[in-house]
Formats: sequence, structure tokens, C-alpha cells
Amino acid sequence: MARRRLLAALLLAGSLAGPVLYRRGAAARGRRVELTYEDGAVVTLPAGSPGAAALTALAEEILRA
Amino acid sequence: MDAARALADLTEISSEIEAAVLLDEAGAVVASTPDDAERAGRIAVGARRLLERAREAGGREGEEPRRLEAGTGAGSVFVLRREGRTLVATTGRTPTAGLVFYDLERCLQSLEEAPKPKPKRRRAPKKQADGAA
Repeated sequence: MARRRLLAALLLAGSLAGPVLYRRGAAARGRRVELTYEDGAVVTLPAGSPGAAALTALAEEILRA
Repeated sequence: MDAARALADLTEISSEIEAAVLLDEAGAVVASTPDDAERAGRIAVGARRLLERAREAGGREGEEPRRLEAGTGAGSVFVLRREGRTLVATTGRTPTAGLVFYDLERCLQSLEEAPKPKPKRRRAPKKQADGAA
């Protein structure tokens, strides 16, 4: 009986945590900053770098506008 | 093509673009869709700040990028500069960047390809009637 309860609790916890983790992962994947210049050079700012963080914050302001 | 028409076509063609604002060389709003002047003004200010910050962050001696994509996880902002014009667009969380930039390029191209007014045809002088004078 106790085993069943434990299994049910684990299933419930997993089904609740799964979508949250998936959403977090998708959000992290969507965070990117890419700059392309006249000469065709592409600069990707690493996620978490100060430059990327500043540009992402400004982009968030634009999306909220 | 008229700027407002070009932006309306852009959002009709691209299901990913939610809002678009066209700025002139001075950074002033030329047209926007949806047609909301206040919101367009806020997006224009944000885009100018974004480009200014990108100059520093890009590490290319202050060069302004021609294209900029900034994804936040909740949505993305795309900026394209061409021939003195700047086109800013917002999308949802998972845009196809290549397609969005393609549509933005086409939009700016359509503005450059605006047909020039045709020269007026000169009328041939009226022939005088045989019996006249």
C-alpha cells in the first residue's frame, strides 16, 4: 500500500515538474542575440554575457510596449 | 509602394510577425502595424536603444549591425537596416529567424521599388480643319 502511494506521489510530482522543466528549457533556448554586419559577419553573443543580457532586457521592453 | 501598405502586406504574409514599425534615417516612425502611434513610438525608442547597445556589445569598433535578432524566451525582436530605413518587428517565442528576415528584406525592397511617376504624355497639336483660315 505504501509502495503504491509512493509511486502515485512520484508520478504526480513528475507530471507536474515535466511541463515546468520543458518550458524553462524552451525559454532558455529562445534566449539568443545575433548580430549581422554589412560584410556578412555574424556575431552571436553568448547567453549570460553582459552584452546579451543588456540587449535581451531591451528586447523585453520592446515586447511589452 | 506606400509604407503603410507595405507593412500591412508584411503582417499579412508573415504569420510570425505580430507588430512592425518602419523608421526613417532620423529614427522617426514612418509607419506601423497595428496602427497605434503610442505603441509605435515606444517600439521606435526601444529599437534605437537596442541598436546603440548593440554597437558596444558587438565588439566591432562601434559598427552598427545591419541585422539584429534578440530572443527573450517569451518573444523575439528583429531589426533590419537598409538604405537609411530601419524596420523593427516583434514575434512570438519560437520564430523562424531566416523566414522573418526574408520577409523584412522583401518589405524594405518593395519600398525601394516604388514605381516612379510616369511622365505625362504630351498631346499632339490639334490639326486645323482644312477650311480654316
